[in-house]
Amino acid sequence: MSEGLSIGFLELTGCSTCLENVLLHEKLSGILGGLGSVKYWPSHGYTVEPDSLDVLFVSGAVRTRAQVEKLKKLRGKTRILVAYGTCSIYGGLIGLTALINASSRGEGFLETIKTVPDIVEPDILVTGCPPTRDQLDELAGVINDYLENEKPRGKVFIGNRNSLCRDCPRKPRDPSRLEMPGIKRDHELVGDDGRCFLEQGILCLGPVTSSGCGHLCILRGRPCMGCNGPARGVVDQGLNYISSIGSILLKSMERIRMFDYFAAEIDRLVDPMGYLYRYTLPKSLLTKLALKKRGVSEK
Amino acid sequence: MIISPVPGIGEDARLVFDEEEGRIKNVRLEAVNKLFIEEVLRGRALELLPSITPIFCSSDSWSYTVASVMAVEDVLGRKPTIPALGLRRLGLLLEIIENHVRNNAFKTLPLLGVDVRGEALRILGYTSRVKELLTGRILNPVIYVPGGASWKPDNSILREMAGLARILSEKIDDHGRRLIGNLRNNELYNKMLNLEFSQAGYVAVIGGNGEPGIINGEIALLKPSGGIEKLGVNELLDKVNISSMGFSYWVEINGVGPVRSGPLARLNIVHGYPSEKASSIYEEVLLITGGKPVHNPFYTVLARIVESIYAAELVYESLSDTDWLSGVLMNTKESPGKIGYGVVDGGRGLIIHRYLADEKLVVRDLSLYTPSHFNYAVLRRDLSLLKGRVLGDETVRIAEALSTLYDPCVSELTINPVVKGEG
Ligand code: SF4
Ligand code: SF4
Repeated sequence: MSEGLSIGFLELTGCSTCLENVLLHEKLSGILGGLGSVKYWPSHGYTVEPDSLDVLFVSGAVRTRAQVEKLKKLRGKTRILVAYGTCSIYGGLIGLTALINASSRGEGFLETIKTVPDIVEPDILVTGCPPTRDQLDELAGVINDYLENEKPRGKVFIGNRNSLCRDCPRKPRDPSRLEMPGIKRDHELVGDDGRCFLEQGILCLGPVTSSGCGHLCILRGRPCMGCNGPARGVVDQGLNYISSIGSILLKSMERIRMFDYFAAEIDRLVDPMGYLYRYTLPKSLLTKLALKKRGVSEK
Repeated sequence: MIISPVPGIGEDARLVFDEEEGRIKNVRLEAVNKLFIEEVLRGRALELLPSITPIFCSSDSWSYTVASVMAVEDVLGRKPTIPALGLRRLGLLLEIIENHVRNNAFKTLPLLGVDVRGEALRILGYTSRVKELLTGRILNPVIYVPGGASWKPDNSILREMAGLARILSEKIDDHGRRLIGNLRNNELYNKMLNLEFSQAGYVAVIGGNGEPGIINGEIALLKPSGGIEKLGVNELLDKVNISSMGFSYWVEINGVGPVRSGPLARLNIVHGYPSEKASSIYEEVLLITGGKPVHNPFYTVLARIVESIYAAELVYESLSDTDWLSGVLMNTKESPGKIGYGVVDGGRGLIIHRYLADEKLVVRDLSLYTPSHFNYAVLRRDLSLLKGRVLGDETVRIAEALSTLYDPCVSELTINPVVKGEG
């Protein structure tokens, strides 16, 4: 099947480290035909744009007009387009610039950060910063199916989209009784006792993040930063999160004066964009509203 | 004539040749997509920077994380524990290997007609697996936290890592030696080695015995005349002279300029490599260069080979005896200040993070210096060597190969000069 395939890699704005790992995954690389199939990958020396591509992996967010044109052109030549990594789907870390008016950056820059699905229709979406080994296993299977059928059967999301809390090893025995003792900042996590991070006062984005990563950080003593993108049903990671921790903060607060306490705790959230939208700001309602106010079209 | 995308660099930069009657009048590497790094980081909670900064660099992303953790530690006044330092060093060594193997195999060597990409990919399979075992993630190593580490691999993981590291070290040694043999007979490479380049200064982090320091040592500036000056990080930042081309880059340090940073700089500055395989390959390379310092940037290919062999030996060594990992992982004692520095001499070269935080530990200002801040001036000067030559395949190839030697990321450069904060 992999014989004679042509594969491309397009790096938009982001670190693109995730793309470097596609061919290091044995199963996926085998299905794609390995290095021999690579026809386009400018940062790795393959600069001539081929007439057609069987599979194109796109990483990074879109922030220049030249990237928009390139993406559209390559979509037209590509059978299976994979939006690869969280930046390409939700904006990722570079998406933190979404609210800065980009017109000051000079000619050629878009007004805001866009994602791959804003510009073209991907066939497969792989979240993760970076996508994990298990996600690549699943991706290998899906690509294999696609290559064996004439036409892709519609858009496919790779990875489990349940929230991380659902199968979390730190999940409280009775989540309905969970109480958050105020809000601590990340570096204030001292003496992690293995309980749910929220019970320790640490903001963990697990409740609103999809679990395709397999709890990578949580298993290593770190709260979730949201890098795998929103869980199924989550429209806006930040807003959904505030509503979930709001309720557990309020619960423990009944002992004290209600709203003063909540306001004081929320005030400790000195960087709400950084904590709550580190990977998804361009897709937030906040950005949509801000752009609407500035008269910038969503497309 | 414009080359875009640039082979081995990609879509964020372009090579522009101004031509007059078929000859090169001027040639330069320009940024197409600047990242405006400070925009993303100013106003952020200080503690979040280590998880955000790696986005700015694919080659040195772990080095960015570590530089950032160190700068945050410096602001908080926390001292990292010994196990944490060891875990960071391990990650950085793996990144140096990846950097050099990838840059040689995929960026520079294809332009010389040398194809070792398959072999390189196999080596990268090992580094990536060890990184994954070390921190769980091949990107954004979240276990590196201010004052320590949030987790450490258990004995069975350590054993698995050591096994992989042993094979990695053997494979890299073999790969490097064969590559050197191959390059000795490469006509185009030899032609490039015969090009005359002007002298430059060199900057690197050097350890106590004159070995590459990475995160542990002093910043050393080697002058073209041969003398070495040691500089503290703020002293260095006070002595830079900056130029601008829509982004800032350093034209000289303390009157020395232009200055290179990265593998060739380290090869020129170090006294040697305190490990068996690396010192033997280093001696072999010195026979080819005919001594030090070497100013021809094409020797970077050889410097990358020496350093990747050295790094692989160190990775194996630290995984064979893991006593350093036995102490406490985290130190949370602190006395917060306002300014913090983080310095890492990563694969591409010297990275300096300087953060200025307010009393709420919100980042009010910052400067991130990347290897390209040093190397852009010297790259410009090296490219100008092509002025007056016929604009043809060979000159374009030389310009492309030259650019890859610096693995430049002009999009990382920003318009900000040095931040002179309080303190
Ligand atoms: S909030 Fe975090 S630590 Fe708690 S259960 Fe959810 S994912 Fe696990
Ligand atoms: S735990 Fe959260 S931050 Fe960590 S890999 Fe999973 S989704 Fe990303």
